[in-house]
Amino acid sequence: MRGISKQFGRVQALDNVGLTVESGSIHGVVGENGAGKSTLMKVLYGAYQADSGEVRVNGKAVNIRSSKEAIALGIGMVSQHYGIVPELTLLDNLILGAEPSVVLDKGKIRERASKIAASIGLDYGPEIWDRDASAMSASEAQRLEILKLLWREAKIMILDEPTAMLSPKDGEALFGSLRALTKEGATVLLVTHRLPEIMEYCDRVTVLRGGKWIADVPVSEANPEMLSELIVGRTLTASERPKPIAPTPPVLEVKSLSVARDRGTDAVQKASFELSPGELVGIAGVDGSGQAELFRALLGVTPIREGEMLWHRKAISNEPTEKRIELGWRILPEDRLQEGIISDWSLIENSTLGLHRLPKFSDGGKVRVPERAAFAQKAAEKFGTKHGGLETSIGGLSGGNQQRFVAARMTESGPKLFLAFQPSRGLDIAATEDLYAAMQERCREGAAGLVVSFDLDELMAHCHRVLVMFSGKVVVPAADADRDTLGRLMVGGEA
Amino acid sequence: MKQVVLIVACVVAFIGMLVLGGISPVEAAQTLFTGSLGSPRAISGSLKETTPLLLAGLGVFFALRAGLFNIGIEGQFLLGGFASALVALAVPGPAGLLLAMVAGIAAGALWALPAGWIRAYRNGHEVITTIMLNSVAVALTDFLVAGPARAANQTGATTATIPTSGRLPALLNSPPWNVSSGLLLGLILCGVMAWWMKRRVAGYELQAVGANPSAAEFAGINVRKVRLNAMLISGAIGGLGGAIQTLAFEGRFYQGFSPGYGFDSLGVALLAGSNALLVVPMSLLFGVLSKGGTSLLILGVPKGLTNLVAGLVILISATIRYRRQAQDA
Amino acid sequence: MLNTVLLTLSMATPLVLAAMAGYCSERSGVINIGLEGKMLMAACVSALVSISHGPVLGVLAAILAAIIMSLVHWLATQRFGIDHVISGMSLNAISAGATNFMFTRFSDPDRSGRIGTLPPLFYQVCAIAAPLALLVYVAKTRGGLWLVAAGSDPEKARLAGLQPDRIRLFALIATGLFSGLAGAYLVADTGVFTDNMTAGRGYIALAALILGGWRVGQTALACLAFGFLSSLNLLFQGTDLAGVALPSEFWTSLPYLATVIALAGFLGKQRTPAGLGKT
Repeated sequence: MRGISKQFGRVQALDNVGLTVESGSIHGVVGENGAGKSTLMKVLYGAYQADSGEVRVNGKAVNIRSSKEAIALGIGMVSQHYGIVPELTLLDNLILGAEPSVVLDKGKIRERASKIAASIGLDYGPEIWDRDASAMSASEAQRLEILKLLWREAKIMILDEPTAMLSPKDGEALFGSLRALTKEGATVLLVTHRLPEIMEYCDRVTVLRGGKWIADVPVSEANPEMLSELIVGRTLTASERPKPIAPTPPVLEVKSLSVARDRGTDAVQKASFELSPGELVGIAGVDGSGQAELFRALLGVTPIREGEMLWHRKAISNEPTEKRIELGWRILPEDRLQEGIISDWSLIENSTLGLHRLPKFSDGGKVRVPERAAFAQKAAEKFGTKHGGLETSIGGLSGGNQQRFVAARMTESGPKLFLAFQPSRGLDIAATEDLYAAMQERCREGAAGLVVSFDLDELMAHCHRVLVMFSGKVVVPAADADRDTLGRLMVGGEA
Repeated sequence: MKQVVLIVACVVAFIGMLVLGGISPVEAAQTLFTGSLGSPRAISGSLKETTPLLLAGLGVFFALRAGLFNIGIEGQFLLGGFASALVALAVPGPAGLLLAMVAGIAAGALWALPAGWIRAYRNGHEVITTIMLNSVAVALTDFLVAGPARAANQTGATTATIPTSGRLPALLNSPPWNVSSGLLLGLILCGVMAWWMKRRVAGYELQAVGANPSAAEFAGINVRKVRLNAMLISGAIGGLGGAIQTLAFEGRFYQGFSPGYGFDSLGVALLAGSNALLVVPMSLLFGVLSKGGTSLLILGVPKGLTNLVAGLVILISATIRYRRQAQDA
Repeated sequence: MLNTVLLTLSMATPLVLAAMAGYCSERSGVINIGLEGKMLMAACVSALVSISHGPVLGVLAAILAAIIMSLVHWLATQRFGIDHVISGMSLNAISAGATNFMFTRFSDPDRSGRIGTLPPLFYQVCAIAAPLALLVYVAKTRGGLWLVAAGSDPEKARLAGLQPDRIRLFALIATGLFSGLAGAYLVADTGVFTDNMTAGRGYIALAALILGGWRVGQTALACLAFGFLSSLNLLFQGTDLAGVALPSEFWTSLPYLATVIALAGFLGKQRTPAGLGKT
């Protein structure tokens, strides 16, 4: 792939990126969220069209306009959230979209399927093929995805974060079979944010950052420190970090908290940490490391599987969300449209969403209309939300303006604990600074805050401490851990 | 604006069907008008048709605001009407009247309970359960009124007639004018509901669940409980509608008690959109169409036409809502 | 005895055909509350066209009418994104109103006697053939695999290179075919068209589909059971069974009650196609 560029709206997702992969190798592609890894892979798989650049497969220039054409060229892709249809059998899933004929001879298909499975060392008898796909574990699903690629006779296999839901042991097994496949001439493109995988299994690695090509090195010449530096980059302006505050008795204690996922490993695994009053704590980590699930569990929207949470030393895990809000907990949720606002409603009505039962806004079940209007006014002014009247629907505002309003709802409603997920999303630099200033102000008044961001620098510039989430685990580094250490932790390295 | 489009579409559909059927639209319009609004008697008749549509419409509207489509209003209406007839016959006088209303409300809520519970806690679609429960309600009341609850001296399947002292008094009764106090009750209920939706925290929560259940969850609202309660109250209102039908107009319960009020009320509620107060004009529109439709029978226009219009309204309003959402996104 | 068997078969025929119509649509992911309306429309059209153009054209017109209704349903759900249930419901209402209107306006009020139709046996053969054909189709062909995949998880089917919209289009055409036959049978069986003559059979077929766990064999069996119930109801109307007289309304309600109980999750794990109603 040469000189690939791709723009989404005003965002330059890929800027003149090149990628050369030797056949028969495992080639890693690494980078932070938004570095352009997935976009680049989707261009190759035909899911996106590049604005410019060229793709050559086995030396021949090709024009891939759809996934169907990619498949015809022998390119296959396994996405992060498996493409397995739950109600079909394993065999049906295997052949779906690549059936050999109109009338299906299941006996013959089963035979060929078992042969393919045997080629990567799996002993799949007929009875396994007739099992329901819904009963599969994450690692079985992953294996089936590989088999699907083999069924389609894919020579170039793209795997996007294949181990995200696998246990380390299953991950090892997966790479074992990939290694075997490359011996037979297959080529594997591995998108990952886990450096240990790169170091252990890949032949070469390409680093992307901010949609640009950064480096392409043989793994034999690389080491984790160098790679994590390449991935995260260096900021020239070292902004002044807030000093960690003197330790006081914690206000929130989270003890060995786990949150289950539909399938596969727990989304949050035995997370333990504490927050002191007055503390603004960041959670760094790449997207999908379990931050969203942690927040949902903290607020009480998703049940926890094990562990406990203490607020002022009192267990709170069994209290409903309503009660937590009453205690002064506030959230700026991950998905603003789905979780934070009601698009059809006016700014006034949205201003008290979640706060509507507080005595300030409810007089024994009656809406306190003037107070609500006054609060909406205050919230709109706080970060300069541009709107066409507080009575108009919030859905008509731009994303950035919605964010300003929802953020103000959190900071201006007397929070004792606030959970902010990517607070700067959609905001410009000035608004971001204002928002963090407001959060710090609340902390000076005694509140505690937890901020999730995918931007490590943003957290380091504003938070007293930064925790790291990786693969569902919360790592609590030393309070003065430097940028390189945190960057390594974010990609699964050692402190 | 949206309502205007819908009403125009309604009328156009109505006239279009007439033309298709080979009936002069001018003549039909004249008959429709004289039959529904042309005389005090006609107006009284239209208001009589409006009353059950207003109440059942309010019931559907209430559930709709919580994001639930209570097709079961027909069954709740039937059971409400039946239960109130039984109680009014058993307990004479004004006390019986009051008890009969309560019985109607309770019966309606009870009939909505399985649908509400299954929706809230088992995630089974309320439309399917309520459709099934409607059929059961028809069979159940048909059976009871033909057997155990049948009046001794009657030939048809009907209960005995409730004496005047046990009925809802008329609001205005000077022939040719005749307006029932049931209509007033419906108007009051409508006003209360509009106020409740706007000014009560519970109304706020109900509508939050209807508009965006996941955001409601983040706002600390117990979505399941709200859904169950919304269905119960919706059913209770439907039951009250049936009770009023019995106590104000019919004076008894019989097979074929509802000629499809439940269904037309779906159209009423969908037309009203998000404003409870609009249920009044919309039920009036359907009431007039229904009363006028009876006069059209003389011209050979069958009654099924209002059904058709209700169906079209539902389809068109759903399309408009989709278009608006697509613009938002 | 023979009487009961024959009656059961004749009662089950429209249910099986309608349930197979529902199967095609719901397996592809389109919730089909609208079976009732499609059947009713087909019954009305078959009566009108049979009178004017003879029985063969009558059946064809009935199928065509039901297919058109299905296509409207497809447009509503797949193109306009209208809730499947609401659009199905409104199709029922439109059909109830339109058939009532059409039949009173377009048929000769003085005509009497049976409407000339294809023999009921034709439909009964169809009702036996349809489930068998669907069983083979789903188990043995590419199209059957696509049908189930589109209804199970349209998003993932799309990832595998399928086009769920198109699959649903063909599924709904099949729905039209079967519900058209189901509607036409009602007229063939009774020899007349009467207002609202489907009398909830579309909903019972849906109930059979739900109780049958969206599987062909079990669904057909549920239809047979419901047919048997109605035949008992007809045969034993008014007579005491072992000293207890169960009212006919009880028998009529049984399918509906069973469905509500099934939806409440009291009859084991629900096997609803996961992609039902999703895009």
